[in-house]
Amino acid sequence: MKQQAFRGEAGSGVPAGGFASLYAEEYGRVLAVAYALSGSWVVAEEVTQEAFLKAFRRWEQVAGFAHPGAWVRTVAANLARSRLRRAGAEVRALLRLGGRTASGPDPIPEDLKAVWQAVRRLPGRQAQAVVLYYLADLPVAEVAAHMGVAEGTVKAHLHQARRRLEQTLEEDQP
Amino acid sequence: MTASRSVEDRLRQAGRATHREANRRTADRPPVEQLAGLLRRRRLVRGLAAAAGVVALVAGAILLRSDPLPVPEIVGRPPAGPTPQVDEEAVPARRATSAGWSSFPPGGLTGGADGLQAVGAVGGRLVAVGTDAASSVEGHPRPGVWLSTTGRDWQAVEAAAIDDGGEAFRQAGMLMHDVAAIKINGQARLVAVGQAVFEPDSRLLAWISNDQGETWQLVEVPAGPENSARLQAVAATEQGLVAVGGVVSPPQEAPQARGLRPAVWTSPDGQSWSQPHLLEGMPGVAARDVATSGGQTVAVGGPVTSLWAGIAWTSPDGQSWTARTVVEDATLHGVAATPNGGFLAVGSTPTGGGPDGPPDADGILYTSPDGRSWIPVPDPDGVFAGPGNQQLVSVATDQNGQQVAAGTDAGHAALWIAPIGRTWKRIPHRDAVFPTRDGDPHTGNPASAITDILPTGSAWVAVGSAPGADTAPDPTVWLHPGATLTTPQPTPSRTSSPTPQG
Repeated sequence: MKQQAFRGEAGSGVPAGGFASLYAEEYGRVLAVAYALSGSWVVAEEVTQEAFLKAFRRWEQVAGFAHPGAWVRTVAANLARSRLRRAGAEVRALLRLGGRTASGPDPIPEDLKAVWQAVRRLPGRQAQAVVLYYLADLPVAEVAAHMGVAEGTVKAHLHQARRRLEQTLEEDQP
Repeated sequence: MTASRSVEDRLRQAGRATHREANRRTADRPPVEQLAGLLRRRRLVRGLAAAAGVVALVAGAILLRSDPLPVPEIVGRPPAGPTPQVDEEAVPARRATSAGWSSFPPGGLTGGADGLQAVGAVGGRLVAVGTDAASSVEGHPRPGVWLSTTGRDWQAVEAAAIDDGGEAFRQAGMLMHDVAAIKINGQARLVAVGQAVFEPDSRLLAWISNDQGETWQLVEVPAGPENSARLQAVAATEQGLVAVGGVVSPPQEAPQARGLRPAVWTSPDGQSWSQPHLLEGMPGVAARDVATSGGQTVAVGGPVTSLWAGIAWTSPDGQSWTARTVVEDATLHGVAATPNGGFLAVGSTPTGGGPDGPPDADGILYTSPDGRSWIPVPDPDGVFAGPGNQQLVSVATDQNGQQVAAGTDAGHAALWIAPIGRTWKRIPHRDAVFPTRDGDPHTGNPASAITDILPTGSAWVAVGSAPGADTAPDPTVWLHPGATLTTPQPTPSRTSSPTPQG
């Protein structure tokens, strides 16, 4: 209820148009996407904050999107992928280390963590498509729109990803 | 078909478990008011920045606030060890005939690294460190080291020679962020710092080489009670090595105190490291760079998500540290010693951000005679400003007072240069040398970036990344042949015994 009071409230700084609601409703989904693609709750939390900060900065534009939450999830997916792939190459100053909470133990069962580990081993675009489709629950058309590719390309990514995951997960089984 | 269905089932099962845990963690999310606070602050900053620009033009340098914060809590002390000596023997790179900068994209570097993080020098050799994607294990990064005696021709060190002893971390991946040279009982030693990443946690690592980078020994650095931390930079001081970064505070701390805390580690030799020394700073702050000059060691950094507060921590001995807010509406990324015993620090300040692009920031540069008081360098011509992000992340000065700052400008690598006391100028864009390509519109990540710069005798070497053939970042070296620079005077090695007290 407190966040409702902040929605567009004069002087609060929170823009009108439901940013507070978006933040409350989408935080968990964005965090899940970031976790799947980074493998770390600590990294996921900082990525999630960063993604919402980006939405905040350009809220007038993002609020006009059909699905602002999908936009934030896609930004988080990009950030998480980028954090993993470019972590070594990232400009030192751009490494966002904190503003996060201590993560505590990870209760995700090992066999399910292995699924995300296998996803992270996929080529970047395939991994992104898998997470946006299966975890972020975006339809193929929206995955394609956010990735800037044709729907057919997303379907091809998903098909190839499933094939690779079959092999990887089968090999990993004892 | 059945197998494919099984994969889909497992993906959905993993998805449900992940959503459950993510929803549980939603209760710990920062309040939305924090984001609102940042936005308000940014708007205020824009107004102040405009006013400050006018004032700076009229009055020149302005001494900004340098109120000391409370003395930081110091945890633990470094173990005893052999007396180190700073190795300041930089290696002159070969003079080239052409004046100006040239770049060496992937052809000059084998190994397929994503990019280079830092460059150092020891015993007639340049040493660049970063991430080696070519030898990564199942897509997880592996540290990379490249060696050169010319700055032009580079040789990758075999992966097996870098992470000896690191089997436990290979699955997680390892990052190498910085490198420094030190003398231990007269023998030059390279010490690099970094970490294992993401899984199961962030273990801190250091690598030691006693043969000028040919082979490395991996040692673990204490990461604090949460075993989750980052090591960002390392410097050789009279007292030994000082590394900086941040550690995650224990969960039993009050919610408002939880998060990343700035920290310092010390080591007499790179082999044994102290527990993290917590530095004064609000949660979410990390130290990003460290340098030593005139008996003072200075670390700089700031908040890592909200960006806005540039903090310098000063220590005469690596043991006791005093924090000072250098600038409230910016953050600091890099620091370097100057020949006169002072310091240069670089960073960036927010200037807003276009609705269609990443946040906008301008570069900033500060000077300090002692690490305690800091003066902004006026930028009347706006060379650190412009459309898009200007991020100054590294700075260095040679013995002749030539200064070079490095970073990114609107998504691509950029350099700025000035003799001490003179106006800074931006190195003109030359597509072949500083490739211009848009960065990632979602993340704001630059397409190319310079991460570190080093004066090496009569030449300058900068390292970073630039788009390769497949647009993925490749390691890149930028080289100034030194036609307009002269060889700096080497600084004598210290021989005193600076064993830490306590």
